Formats: sequence, C-alpha cells, structure tokens
Amino acid sequence: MMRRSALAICSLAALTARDAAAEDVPMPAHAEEVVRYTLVAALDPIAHTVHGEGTLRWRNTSSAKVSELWLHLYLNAFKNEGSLFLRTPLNGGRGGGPVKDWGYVDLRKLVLVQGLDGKPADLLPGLEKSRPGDHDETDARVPLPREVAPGETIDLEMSWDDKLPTVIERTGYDGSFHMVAQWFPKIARLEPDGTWAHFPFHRLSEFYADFGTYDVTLDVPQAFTIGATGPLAESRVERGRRVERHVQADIHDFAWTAWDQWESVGEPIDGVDVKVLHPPGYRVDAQRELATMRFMLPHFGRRYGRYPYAVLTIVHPPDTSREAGGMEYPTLITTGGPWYGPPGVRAVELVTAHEFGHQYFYGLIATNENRWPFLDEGINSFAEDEAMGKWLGAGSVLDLAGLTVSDAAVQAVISNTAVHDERVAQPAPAFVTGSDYGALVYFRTGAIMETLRRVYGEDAMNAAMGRYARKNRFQHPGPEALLASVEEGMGPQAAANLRAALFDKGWVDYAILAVNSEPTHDAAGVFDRDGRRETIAEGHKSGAHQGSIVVARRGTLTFPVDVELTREDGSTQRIRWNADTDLVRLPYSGSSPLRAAVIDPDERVLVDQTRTNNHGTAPAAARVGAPRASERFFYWAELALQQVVP
Amino acid sequence: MSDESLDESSAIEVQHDRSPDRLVLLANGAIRARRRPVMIVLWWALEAALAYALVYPILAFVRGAYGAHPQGDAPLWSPGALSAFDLAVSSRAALPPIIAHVSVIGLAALVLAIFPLGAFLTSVAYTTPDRRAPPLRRVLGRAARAFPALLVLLVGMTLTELFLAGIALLAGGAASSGFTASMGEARAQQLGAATTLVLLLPMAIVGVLHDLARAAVIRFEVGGIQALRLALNTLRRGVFASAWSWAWRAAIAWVPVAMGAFVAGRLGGKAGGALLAIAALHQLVILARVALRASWLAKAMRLVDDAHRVLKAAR
Repeated sequence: MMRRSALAICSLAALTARDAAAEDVPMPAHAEEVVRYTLVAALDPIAHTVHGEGTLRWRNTSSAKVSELWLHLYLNAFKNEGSLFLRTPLNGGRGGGPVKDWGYVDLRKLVLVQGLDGKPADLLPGLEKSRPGDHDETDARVPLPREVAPGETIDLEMSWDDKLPTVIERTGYDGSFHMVAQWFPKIARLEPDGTWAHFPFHRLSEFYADFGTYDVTLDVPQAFTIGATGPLAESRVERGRRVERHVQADIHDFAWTAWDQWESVGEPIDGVDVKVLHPPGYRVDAQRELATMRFMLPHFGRRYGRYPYAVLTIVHPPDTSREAGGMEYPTLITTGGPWYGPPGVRAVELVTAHEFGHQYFYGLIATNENRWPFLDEGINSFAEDEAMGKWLGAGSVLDLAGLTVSDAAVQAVISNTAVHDERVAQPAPAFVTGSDYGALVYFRTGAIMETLRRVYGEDAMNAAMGRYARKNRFQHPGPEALLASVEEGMGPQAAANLRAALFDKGWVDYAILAVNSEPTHDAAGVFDRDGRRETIAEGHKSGAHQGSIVVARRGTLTFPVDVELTREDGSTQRIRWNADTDLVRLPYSGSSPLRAAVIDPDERVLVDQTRTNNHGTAPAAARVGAPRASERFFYWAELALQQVVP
Repeated sequence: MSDESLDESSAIEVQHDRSPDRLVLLANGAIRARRRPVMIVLWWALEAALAYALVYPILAFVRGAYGAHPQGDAPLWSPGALSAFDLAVSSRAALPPIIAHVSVIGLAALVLAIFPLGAFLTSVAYTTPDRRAPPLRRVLGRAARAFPALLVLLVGMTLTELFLAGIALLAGGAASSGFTASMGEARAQQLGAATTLVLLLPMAIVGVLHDLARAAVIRFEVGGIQALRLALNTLRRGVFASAWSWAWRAAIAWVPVAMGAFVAGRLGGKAGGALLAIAALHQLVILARVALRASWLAKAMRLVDDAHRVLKAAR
C-alpha cells in the first residue's frame, strides 16, 4: 500500500508539473454578457406544443451601429420540405429520417421596448422570415425603427408558440418524451465588426451565439420530470403543474427535456452536481455515464481549464428517440446507447466523453460551428480520443475477448478514406456529403491532432491545447488562434502540418521501397599499382555488411519518423528520418545482414495513408508469414462451420 | 477399427445381404460413438479441410500484406488495432469476392457434409459379420445411397427452422413494441427477447427431429418422409428425454470453447511454441465438439432403433 501511495504521489507530481505551463495561462472567470433572456415556457405534452414568452435584453458590443436584428427560428427547419434542413440532399450523417409530424415556431409578439422616441415599437409587421423564392424560415431578419449605437442596450418583448416535431436530430417528441431544443427565438451573434453571424439551419451545421444569462421558468404537468440547462433556482407544484426556474450565466443556449418516465441518479463529481436522467431499465448505462464523468471532469479540467458551472445534466434518451441523443447544450448533454450493451463495447462512455468535451469547445470557447465546424467537432474528437485513451488505454472503443480497438485507430483509418475528397476547414453547409463531413470534420481533425501529439510530444500538445482553451475561453476564436497555440507549443513545422491538413487536404504516405545488404569485401577487378597490373578475382571479405533502405514520403505533410532496422541476428536499430525529402536512400552498415525495415514502428503518424507499405524485407530474407492470423482465422472458421453444417 | 468388445448378441445380421463384407446391424446398446474413434477423427479432418477452404483467400490476403513484415502479422494484433483496422478498411474492395467465396464454400459445406454425416451414422450403427468396424467403402456406399433422403430432410427441416426463427423474431419484436408504452422500453425489450427465446424452443425441437430422421434414414434405409414419420414416432415416446439428450451435449460443447479461450488468453500465443500449443489446443476443442456431436447422433440412432423395436413389439 505504501509503495502504491508513493507511486501515486509521484505520478500526481509529474502530472501537475506537466500541466503547470497551461494552467498559468490567465482564463476569464466570466463571459461578457451580451444577452439576457428571461423566459417562461409551458409544455402541453398531449399537443406537443410549448407556449413561450419573455424578454431579451441585448447589447450592441460591436463597433458599428445596428439597424437590423437577425433571429434564428430553428424549429421552422421541420415546418415543411422547403426548409434548407429538409431539402438539402446529403448522403450519410444524422437527421436524414422523415419528419412524421411537422414542427415549427410561430412568433406572436416582438416588441422593441425602446423604439422611436422611447416608445415601444411592434417589430412583427416588419419581420422577414424568409428570402424571396426560399421557403426556409429559420433565419429571420428584423428591421429596427432606429439604429442601435455601439454599447447601447435594447429590450425585446417576445411571445411565441412551438409545435414540436417528432424527434429529429436533437429535438422533438416521442410519445410523452420531449426534448426541447432550438425552441425559442434566438438572436444571432453580432461580430465585433458589426456583421451578423446568422445562417439558416443546415443539417450538418450546429450553432453559434453570444454569451449571456438565461433565466428560464418551465411549466410542465406535475407527473413530468424536467432536465434543463443551469441549476434549479426555484421549484414548486401548483394546480397540477410542476414549475421550475433555471438560471445560468455565461452560456449561449438553453435546452430542456420533460418526460413522465424519467428516472435519475447523480452525485457530486469534482465540485459539480452531475445528474443522469435515464429511462426505466437503463440504470446500468447511467452508472457507466457517471463513471465516465468521474474521470472526464477532472481530466478535462486539468487539460483545458476548470469546468465553471455548478451542474451537469446528462440526458440518456430512450432508444426509440436516439436522434435526440449525442448532442450538447450548455450544462446539459444527451447521450445514448442500449441498456444491454456489453461493458467492453465503450459506446456509452465514448458518447458521454464526447458530448461532455463539447462543454469546452462548443460551450466555453464557443467557436462558430457553422463557419468552422472542425474547431468544435474536430478538436473535441481529439480531446475525446486523448481522454478515452488516458482512461481506458488501447481498448477505448472496444475491449472484448482480448481484442482492443482504440478511438485513435478508428478516427485515423476512417478519416483516411475521405482525405482527398474535401477540405476539412470549410463551412458545414459546404460539405457535399454527410459521410465526408463526419470523416473529415470529426475524424480527420482528431487524427491530425493525435498525430501531432504523438510526433511532437504529449507535453507540447498539452501545453498548446491548454493554452488555446484557457486563453480563448468565452472568446469565439477562429482557426488562427488554434494554429497560433500549436505553433507556440509545438513549433512551426507542427503548425504548418496542421494548416496543410486542415486547409489544403494535406496527406502523407510513408513507404519502404527497398531493403538490401551485401557482405563487404575489398574491390575486385583489374588494378594498376606501382607500375604493375594486378587482377583481383574476389575481394577479401571483412565479415561486415553494407546496404541501404529506400524510404519514400508521399504527399504534402512532413512528419519526422523512425525507421527500425532488423538484422538477421535479430538485433534492431533505429534511424531518425526528418522526411524533408520525398525519397531517400538510408545507408546501412553492420556486422549482420539486414533483414527488414519498418517505418514508423511506434504508430505515431496516424494520418499515414496506408500502413501496409510501412515495411520491407530484403529479397533473400525469410518471410515470417502470418502464423497467428492463420491459426485464429482457421479456428474461428471451424467453429463457425460447426454452427451450420450437419 | 476393431469392435472386439462387442459380443455375439450385440449384432443382428441384415438378411438380404450375403456378401463377405456385408453390414450387420448392431444391437441398440452397442451403438456408441466411442466405438468409432477413427470416424470421429475423419469427420474432424473433413471439417478442418472445409474450414481451410473457407478462409484460404483471407489468409492469403493477410500473408500478402504482412507476411514480409519482420514480425509477421504481429502488428495486426497490437493493442488498439490500428494496423488491423487499416488493413480491413483499405482492402474493403476485396470484401465482395470474399463474401461470395465464403457463401459458396459455406453452402457447399452445408450440402456436402451430409455425406460424412451419413457415413458416420452408418459406421456407428453397423458392423461386419466378424465384428469389425464397417469398411470405409461400404460405409461410403451406404451414405451415398442415403444422400437424396438426407438432402430432402436438410432442405425441408432447414426451411422449417428458418420459418420458426422468423416467427420467433417477429413475435419478439411485436411483444417489445406492443408493451413499450405500458412497461417502458427496457422491460418491453426484455419481454421481447424472452418471447423470442421461448419461441425458439420449437426450432430446437425441429433440430432434434431432424437428427432423429437422419438416423432413421440410415437405420431403416427409408426415404426422407418415411424417416420423418419414424422420427416423430420416436419423439412422441419421449420428447423431453430426446431433447435433453441433445441439449446437454449441445450445452457442454461450449465448455471446451470457453476453456480454450481462457487458456489461449493466458498463453498469449503470438508466435513460436505458445502459438503451436494454442493451435493444438484449439484443434482439441474442435475435436471434442465433433465427438459430442457424434455422441448425440449415436444416441439419436439408439432412440429411433429403440422406438422401432417397441412399436414393432406392440403391433
């Protein structure tokens, strides 16, 4: 016990020292408050409607006068098949299923309290829900009767009615289960230069908004349990209705769920009240999600700065509503997975870690998910892979019957299938297919970041990402902030590789082209020495061997790699190759013949296009073959045959 | 292939065959799989050959990709499975022909394996007049004659089993979705799974009936339909006893698999002696399972034989 304690203390000390560089980076305690929503919402679970009303206080934090507002009415994405969301053809990705019951939001009241001459102005008549010839009503323009000066604050009074769709990508109802997201008129973000970052709801895109405080009172039937963004400030039951008020500052969205079948478990973890809402019979999954958070909350805190909120609600939707799962909102995430998933299949842990990671990249750093989706989904996929690897090792995706599959391997290999198709760093609506979006935005970004970590070192990566996350908390950074942090932490080559991989479809394939060696001997032939002509038929053999390995680096990325040489006597030797040329002949000299060579033997360059050409054997050397695969596959085939043959 | 332990009364001559190496029906109690170890080994060897034919393209592909690696296919088994996953995804174009190959070989194995099955049943049920194991030539000849009847049974019973499996799955799905609202999703899914499992029991009974009919084909040299009638008669005499005789053998056949997996996990078996030891162990597992299957088939032969004698006596 003493020895283990001592080891633990040493490990903690090493960990603390390693993260210290990042922890020194100043991190704002609060976001600048741009919006303040004070809303009341009542759910009718039979009609699947929500009536909402309240106020929005908004401040012009840009340097320009503003003469119009943009409101996102995202629930209208499910109003008809003319919406951008439903009409965009995509192969792969979520949200492709049919809408069985349409969903929409009807804005009933929109009043600017401080209108012309200080009198209230009705903005509803001037509201432009769509553009001419376009049925999409998710991105509404609101002309103002007067300009709003920089620094000025205005108040809007609103009321609206939501009709929820059947569950489709993040929101909707399924029986009495209600996941209520993108449910209120939400003002777009105004960039510092006075341009609005507004966009219609696209199936591949997520969100972007200004920080502020959300004070939301929810009113549901008494039998329903609520899960919502932010801590519970007030709760009461009156006239058969459950009324809860949730208040949270420093966030940019608000989502909630209500269901009459929710069960819950929870516990404080690292100073945060973590609660899991799960369907009956899913307690095992809920416990797995809590176990995940016991690792993730402190781990992400060390890596990217402390999680600043008091609560985290994990919503595990019923399996019939799995489109509501796997999504993130401030202080509330949705997960998923069947109740019968074996413990070695880490789907529940993975999705929990991933969605929690969004609390940082989507939630706290708050990049523009429409313009640069890789800054959230991609960087978060790396964070998920890094954290899952630290927690569960090589079996972070699967650890079953002796077979382990890692998150890093899955991300790397799948991303390699799409690397030549499209750029990673492009807006979400620019992707032609959903499968490319998934492979590139999530996995390519994750794989290139994991490659940087493996090639340039874990400490350097932790310092770079720790600095990026802390320095940019609440700041809405763009890609240059990430690249700058990577350059600062890992050097210009790392940053150049990252830029090429993200912006220019950068790729690399290492290959061993030839391996050979020969015994060294004195030169044979005809020699004129001291006036005499001498013919040496066979040079004297020294017992040493000389040869070479021809190694290629194809593609546009440049990572230094190791080349491991294996001699006939079984000994090995490693050569470092900077890979600064496309092709090189590496010299070999040794006492034993060269048998084989392997490039990148430690699997550091995850984005290597294929690994089957990473080895080569001298022509005369014996082949090892595939003994283990032969034995196992043969045995498994025998077992399989026994199940079908008489 | 000696049967020295058999006494005179344990064999009954088949009257119509007078050739010197004619076959003699064994007495019921003497029909034992353990008296035919060579046939069991031959059966295992045939399964091994079929399995090798099944996986040969895959093995050739893996050898082509990693056979020249200084550690052979070891990278494919490394933690995290990066190389294995890379190989699988980068070679996905090879998947359709591999699936086609596996399907063809699997189907061929399904049909062709009737032949050794008939041979084993003949071997286990018969002997020569001088109490030796039947010569392979005679056994194969009888198996060849029984092939059409066994094929009819295979097609008919397989379709029946598939039909029952479909019914079980549909009923399980209906139970699951029908009770989701009232019981909750997880409980309803558990009910659905239980429903499916219960309804799969008839499928197992059909499997037992199939084996009894196969035994009847060999024992009485009858066609498939007649064999099925005899098998039903046998089953009627003791459906639970028959099913149990099959079930315990089928259940314990997984014990060597589990033990093999446990030992393989401990040994590692990446290369060299450990790999050879695991290969030997795995083949013992397969052999043990073949022996258990042979034991059940011998039991099936005894059951149909016994039922026939009782019914004959009753008439």
